[in-house]
Amino acid sequence: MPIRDDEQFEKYLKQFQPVSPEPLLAKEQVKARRRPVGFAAWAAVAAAIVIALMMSALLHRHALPVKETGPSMPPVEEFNNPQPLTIGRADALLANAPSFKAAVDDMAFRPESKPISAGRYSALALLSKEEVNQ
Amino acid sequence: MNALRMTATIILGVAIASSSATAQQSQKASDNAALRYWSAFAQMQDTGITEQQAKEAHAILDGTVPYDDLKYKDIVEKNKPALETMARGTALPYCDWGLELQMGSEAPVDYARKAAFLGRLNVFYALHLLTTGDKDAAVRALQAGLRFSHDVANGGTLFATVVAQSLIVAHLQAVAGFQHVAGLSAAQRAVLLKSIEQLGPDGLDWHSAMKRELEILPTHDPQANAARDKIEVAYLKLLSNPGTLPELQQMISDAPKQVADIIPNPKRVLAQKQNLIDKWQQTRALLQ
Repeated sequence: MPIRDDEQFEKYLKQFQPVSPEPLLAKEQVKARRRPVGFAAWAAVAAAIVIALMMSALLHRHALPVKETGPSMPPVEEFNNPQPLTIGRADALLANAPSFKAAVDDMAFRPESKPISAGRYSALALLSKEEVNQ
Repeated sequence: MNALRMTATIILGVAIASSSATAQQSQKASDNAALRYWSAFAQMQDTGITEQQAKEAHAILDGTVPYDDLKYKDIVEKNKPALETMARGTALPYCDWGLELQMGSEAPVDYARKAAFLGRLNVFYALHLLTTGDKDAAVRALQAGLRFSHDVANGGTLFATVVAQSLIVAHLQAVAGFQHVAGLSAAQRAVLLKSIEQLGPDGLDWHSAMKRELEILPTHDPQANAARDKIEVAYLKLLSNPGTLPELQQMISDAPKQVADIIPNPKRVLAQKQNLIDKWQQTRALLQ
């Protein structure tokens, strides 16, 4: 009986065929972690495209009225106030102007200042305008 | 007797403290005209003008060129909401611009620049109203403008006072123009005369403005500090006694260069002050 058992065991061993191993658990985890990063990258690219399209539409909308109204509209100025007026700067104005009156006159009605270069817009004007969806 | 005196002193002290606290509480922020003026500044609509237009605008304000409504009605109409907000502000009991004097020469004073524009625009607004035949409204605009101009100097340094002076003079010039060109009724003259008399003969508090101005001038060493303090005393004396001008000028030229360079020209300050006094007297006489 024991001999027969050995033969059967030997027969069983001869039937053995190697099987390809399943992927390691650690590899799986790395893949699983990488997936959201890839997704975020694609989402960021998509968001950037959407934002760029929206900004382009927004800038186009703001640019149109200037074209339509022609020269009667004042050009967009680089800044409403080129530099904030402080007591020190105000005193310098008074000291350097030909008279106190000239210093105040120069400030009150100033001729058009330097317009923004082509393709650029006043950040102050754009950011202070609220977009309302209707 | 001592106990009685002590009790009386305590009662007096408590009364003074409580009345002071009540006075502070009664100055509500909503009564601060400066906040209303800032709202008006926010409503201002700018427009591009050429060098030539700027010169002409100044000449109109000086009374050397007649006002042309066709050229200015658009900018005036565009700024009507701002001008009306400003006028409502002039009815408020006090004006505190909240100047950060602790920042010294770095303290922002943009309100003075905006006030210079709005105040001058108000003169054009009054002239525009006069052109359209609404003389009463024109008088109200001038009345508000005089009060606003005076408020511009409140709590400020020399610059704010110079701006206020220039605005008051422009309004007084317009009052004189009204009287010459259109003629004013007795009631209208009385309204304007009251506004002018409320300004007082000096028109503005030059003494306080110069004191604040000189106290914040930056000095970097004890010697400069001492020179500045000495000049401050002489400068304040000058404002009540113009005859001391040579003495002050000598003191400034003897001071360290860093101090002498930053002291406002006393001759110009005196001229500005006198110009307002003269204009005030002339306009008052015209209306009486």
